Amino acid sequence: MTSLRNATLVWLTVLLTLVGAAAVVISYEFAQGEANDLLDTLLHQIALNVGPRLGTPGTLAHEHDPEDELVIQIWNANGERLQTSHPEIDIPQQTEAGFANARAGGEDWRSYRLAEADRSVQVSQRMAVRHEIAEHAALHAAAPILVIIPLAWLVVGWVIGKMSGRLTTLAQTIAARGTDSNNSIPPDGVPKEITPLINAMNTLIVRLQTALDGQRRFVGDAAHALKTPLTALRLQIENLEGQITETARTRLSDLAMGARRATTLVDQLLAMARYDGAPEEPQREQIELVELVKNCVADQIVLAQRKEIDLGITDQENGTIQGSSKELRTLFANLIDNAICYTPSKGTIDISIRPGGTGMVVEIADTGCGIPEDLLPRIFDRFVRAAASGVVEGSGLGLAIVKAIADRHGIRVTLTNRQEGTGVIARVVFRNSS
Amino acid sequence: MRVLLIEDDPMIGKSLARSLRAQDMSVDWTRNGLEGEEALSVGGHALVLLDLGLPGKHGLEVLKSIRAAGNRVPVLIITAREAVDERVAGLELGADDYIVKPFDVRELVARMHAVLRRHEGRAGSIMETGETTLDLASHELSYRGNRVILPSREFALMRALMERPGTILAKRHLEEQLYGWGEEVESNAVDVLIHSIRKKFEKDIIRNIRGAGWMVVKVGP
Repeated sequence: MTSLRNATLVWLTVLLTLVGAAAVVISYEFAQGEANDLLDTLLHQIALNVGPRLGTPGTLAHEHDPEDELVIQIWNANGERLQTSHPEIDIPQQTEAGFANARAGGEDWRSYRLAEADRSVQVSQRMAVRHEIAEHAALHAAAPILVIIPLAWLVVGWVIGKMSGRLTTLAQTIAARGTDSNNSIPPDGVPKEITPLINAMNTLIVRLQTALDGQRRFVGDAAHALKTPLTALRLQIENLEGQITETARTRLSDLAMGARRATTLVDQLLAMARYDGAPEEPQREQIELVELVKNCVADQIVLAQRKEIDLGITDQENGTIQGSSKELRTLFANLIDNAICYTPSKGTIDISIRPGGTGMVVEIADTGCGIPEDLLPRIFDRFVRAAASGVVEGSGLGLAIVKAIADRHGIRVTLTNRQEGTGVIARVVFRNSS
Repeated sequence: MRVLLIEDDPMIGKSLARSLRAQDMSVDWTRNGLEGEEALSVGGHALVLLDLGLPGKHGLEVLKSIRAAGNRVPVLIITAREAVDERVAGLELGADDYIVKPFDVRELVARMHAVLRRHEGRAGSIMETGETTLDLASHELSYRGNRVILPSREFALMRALMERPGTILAKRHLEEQLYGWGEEVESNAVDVLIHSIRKKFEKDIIRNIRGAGWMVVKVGP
């Protein structure tokens, strides 16, 4: 992963270092050139003005760096040295008059020799002085850059931190979105450079939403189109019933069962297409929960009693909830239907309706086989079934529809295995605000 | 009884016509709205089964134009759409009832008879749900071919249950329906009446839901 902050810091540091290095080199060169000109002029002037006698160097100000001292030597016409300011330093007389570089006492010297009629005066200065001046100038040029580098780190770090803070907020907004949310991501407060990314994401959201809508519509339309041939099939089966032998009739009832299962599946697919991720808000009506659940029980009582299951209501405390009665009826019908399907003959299903901590709670407890623990986390997924096909009929869509409706209403539905005995407790928890 | 079936799907049309003929009805089958209208203008049908998704002319348009022409023939709509809007539109345009695909022939025939009864003004005298029929004039209750004339308390109980088929009625609610304010009611009075009715027919004529009450089933099993 590339870090914007690290990349910026590295390249900025490289740039500043290069600029600093260039400043050092250029300052050094310029300062040295300037110093050469200035000091050469100085040597020339001194040589012109050297009198007949030289002062004692010892009397010169002591606080001066001895390195800064000039060495002045005077020779007669015969080449004998008459005087010198520093007897301990012996710089040979240069052959040519004018400027020259010399070496003496292990040091480099810059010398100027002025040849007069009776004498020749040579003024010399250590080269080191010139280097020192140039070095100082270079250091002065480099110093601000050395200060700027850490400052730049701080500033860049702060600015990028601030920018990435906004991006983090944006990321949290995006992460919190539901899959059904088709609002575009607002580009407010986001760096301008990121806007193309957000625009692209918004376009993608619209395209995905269109694709999702199309898919949902397709499932709905397909399920719907299946209804007519299924009706015809069932009519034909009914027509056959009166006209065939007893043995054939058993097979025909299997066929009729198959047609009924197909019908159920079509209805479930329609429900799935209608509720799962549908952008429309569910209706909000005031509903008497006891009334609603009792109606669902009434719808299923024939099925339960055919299996000799004792389906009953243990607690019924009144309380109102808000939501679509049609959808909530589907939710409870699916849960009760599951309880009936998974409870063996002569079993018991207890339903209780009472107020809980956050709102009304409905519990549907059966005495069926329960749900394998490893399936519990996935039990609301599509086509996940607690029993092998063939043992209990079903499509595996019932609980997915329950989940879709519950999500739309902000209801919490949980399925747990009973602690005592076997069976499942389906718990539907409403929120007072919902 | 002569029935006009307006249905474009050949599979449904053929099977339905056969089913209805097996019920001793004579069926005229047309496959689109225009032919249907033509058949209706000739007349002579006791009832019309009208599919909504027709080619040429939509079922609701057909309904609209026959009602506009002053034809009062009973119309039962057959639709694959569960959409409430379409059903409401059908009823508002003057349909007598509707049935949603897929359906059982038994249910369709029961609905047809109910529509006809209502149309002939006999509806007020008979209550019918699923396999149960209660004659309000003679107090005769019939269930799965078994007919018995009920004593007045049992009749009142049965009537209370059949007024809201498919709804669980609590014991207290039934007591309120059966007994006046001043009357002394035995705590098991309703249970005794139900036991008596069940004995005359079958146990499942009145369904008990533990902890909730009693009901009669809305649609036959």
